Amino acid sequence: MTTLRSDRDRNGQKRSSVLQKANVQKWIFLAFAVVPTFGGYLLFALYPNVLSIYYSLLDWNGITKPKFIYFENYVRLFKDHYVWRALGHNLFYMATVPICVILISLVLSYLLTNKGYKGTPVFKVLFFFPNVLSTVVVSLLWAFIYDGSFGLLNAFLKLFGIDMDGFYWLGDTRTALYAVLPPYVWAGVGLYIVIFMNAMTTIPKSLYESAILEGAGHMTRLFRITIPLITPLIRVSAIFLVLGTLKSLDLVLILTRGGPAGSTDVIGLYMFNMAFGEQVQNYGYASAIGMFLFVILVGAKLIVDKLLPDRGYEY
Amino acid sequence: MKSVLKATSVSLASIVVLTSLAACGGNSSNNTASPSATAGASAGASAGASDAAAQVYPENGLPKDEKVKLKVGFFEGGMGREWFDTALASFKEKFPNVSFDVTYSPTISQVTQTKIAANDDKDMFDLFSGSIPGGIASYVEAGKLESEEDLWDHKAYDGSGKTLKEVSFEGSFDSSPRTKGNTYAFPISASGSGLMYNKALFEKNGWNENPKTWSEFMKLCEDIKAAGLYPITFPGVYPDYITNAFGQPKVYELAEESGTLDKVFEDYHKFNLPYFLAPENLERWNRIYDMGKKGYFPSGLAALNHTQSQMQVVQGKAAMVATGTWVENEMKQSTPEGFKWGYMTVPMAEKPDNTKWITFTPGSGFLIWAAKPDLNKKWSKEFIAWLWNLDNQLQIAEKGGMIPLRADFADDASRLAKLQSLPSAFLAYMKDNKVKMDSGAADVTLTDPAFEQANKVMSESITQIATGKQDPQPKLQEAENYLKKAIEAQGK
Repeated sequence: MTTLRSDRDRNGQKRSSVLQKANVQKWIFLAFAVVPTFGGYLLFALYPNVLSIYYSLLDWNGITKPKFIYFENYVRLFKDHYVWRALGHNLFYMATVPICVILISLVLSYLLTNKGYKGTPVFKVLFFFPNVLSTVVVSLLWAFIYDGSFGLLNAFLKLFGIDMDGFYWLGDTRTALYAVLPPYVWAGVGLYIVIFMNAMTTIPKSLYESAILEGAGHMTRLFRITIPLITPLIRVSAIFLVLGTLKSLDLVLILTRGGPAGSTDVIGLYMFNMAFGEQVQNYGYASAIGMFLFVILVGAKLIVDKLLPDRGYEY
Repeated sequence: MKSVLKATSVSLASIVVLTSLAACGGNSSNNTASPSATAGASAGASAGASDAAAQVYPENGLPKDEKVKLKVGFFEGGMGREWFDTALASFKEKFPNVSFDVTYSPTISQVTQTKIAANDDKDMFDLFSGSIPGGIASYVEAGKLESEEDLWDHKAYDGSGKTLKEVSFEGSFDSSPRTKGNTYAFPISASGSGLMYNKALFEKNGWNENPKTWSEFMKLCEDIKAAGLYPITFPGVYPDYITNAFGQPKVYELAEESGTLDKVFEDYHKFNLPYFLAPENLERWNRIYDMGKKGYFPSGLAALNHTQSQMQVVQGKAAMVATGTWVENEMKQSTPEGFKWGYMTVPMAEKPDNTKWITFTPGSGFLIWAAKPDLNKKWSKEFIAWLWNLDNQLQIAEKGGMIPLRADFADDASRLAKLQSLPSAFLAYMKDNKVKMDSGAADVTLTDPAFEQANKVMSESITQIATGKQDPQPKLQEAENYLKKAIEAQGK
């Protein structure tokens, strides 16, 4: 009896120590899994962003003694027509780039998934190719395409009898804003084709087979089966694209530097120039623009949420 | 075995975490530590007084036995690096206790800016070229940069007792950019701005290579246009490049003709209003506007980058490009064998004997970080002075394509013959014309964002004005309003 109890006690102690150990190990694992990433996020994302709120209240160039000026930078910002002009360009890209990218990606991925082309894997690589190129390469490539003297676009138009020789698409205020659009789309489509293709392959074939039996064509299948079933993914893609387009400045910086005559200036570029300008550096004002951009980004996210409801279908 | 593995993995993980934390938190303690392991300690130590004389270099009085390692940030741009490496080697040979740790980069200013942001003086360069994005004014204000003004009185190593100021090319001392009255990036070479052209093309067409008056210059543009070429091009993506041909010195040229030079010179150096709306400035922009309306600049100007605009000249689509004398070196891979560049400036006045004002920029200098040990700073200055040796000046001119700053450079004909075609053409132009040089820099620094906005107004308008699409007057008015705001904000 005594032996039995002591055995049970020993077993109990052993079990509790094993459990305790497992518990400690679990916490150690969690700490290792979470602390570096969360710490990194705190240090390199949250902390500088929170600090930017403070900076936006300063007259400060990053070197000299900061001067607290309350909301003066924000007052200046709302009166600054360059901010509104740049924001207008951003809104144009926000309204066009995601739609173009998503539509083209959807159509191409539907064709590549359902048409059973022999060269599908090759097309997939070709379409994805711009994504492995740096923005600098993409920009220079398109600068060459748009070149007035030796550009591909003018040469192509000439084939159809349209002589645009000497016309620089990026050098004219009437065309520059629109000319920046194709590079954005071209560089963005590939990634979403891959994402959408993977999502489309998970849709059961039986759904398409029944639709075909009922006489549904490609367009019906695309809009009635494919798109509704991958809506959650389209929604996420739209959010990424909208936010990415609002924030981006690299392509514009290299292609046009906001010109000609500010016709392609975007808010990120304006903020960048205010922070690291050729004549003046004003981190305070640039931070205020950054905060304003943050509010716009949150607003844009909420609008996308509203426009594309988060509904999914189980299949 | 299991427990050993577990203990080992836990220890390793702890080391990783601790070292990461140490790396993140080590910055402040580093800053309070002695400045440099090599030079810092040596700077603090004082050599024995008795044998001090034997232990110093007679040329500069610096200790021979204290090893110094200078961290250098080098801007590897159009001048290349060959001249620099040669100078470095000869300096190390002469002063073997000094060594260098050089970071070469075409974007060194970004590296410099990152180092400055890290706020670690120990990690910072001792001296660096390529300046700092946004300019140096705020760094000067904060005492972060060492003044190099005293280098003008430094005796040239091979100048027979003359100071660098005394051996310098006329106009170099006055036109050197200064901040708060001091030189911070002591120039080692110079570049001249203006219009660069294909000499062979001008000779073939019999075009005037040295127009003396505005009318002659307009006639030249007309001739070029009639031959089916654009008379002038420049990289419109970087519209301020137009100032290489039509910069601030041209305002002085117009002012000199109208007898208001002293006032305008003073106003432009001190940002006195009217600045953008000064009559001479309005006249300058109106002339550019007129040229634009006549189609003297390419219509797609705004889309041209450096290479595209310069290639227009090389390929004979445009006759002249507004840029600096560095263009020859920059384009040497793209120009055909035997291509010779010519140089001219835009004459603004109508009297042939009037002074031609040229943007002349002594530059390519190195900034010295003030928070470095004294000995490092002294050796940094010695190295800059070393770059003024005629041997090094020749390297800078021959390999770097720049204009030497030593006046006695021309004393030796064989040395002069080694200049590239464009610096040579520039010097010839100066010899043949009555020329005055100015860097176009102001004495006052404006830091309010409204100043950036004033410049933005003009910068955005340049290609529009130069293509005849924008009347300059309203834009100048807008820029003037921003400038007024900036001046008022500064005065608060």
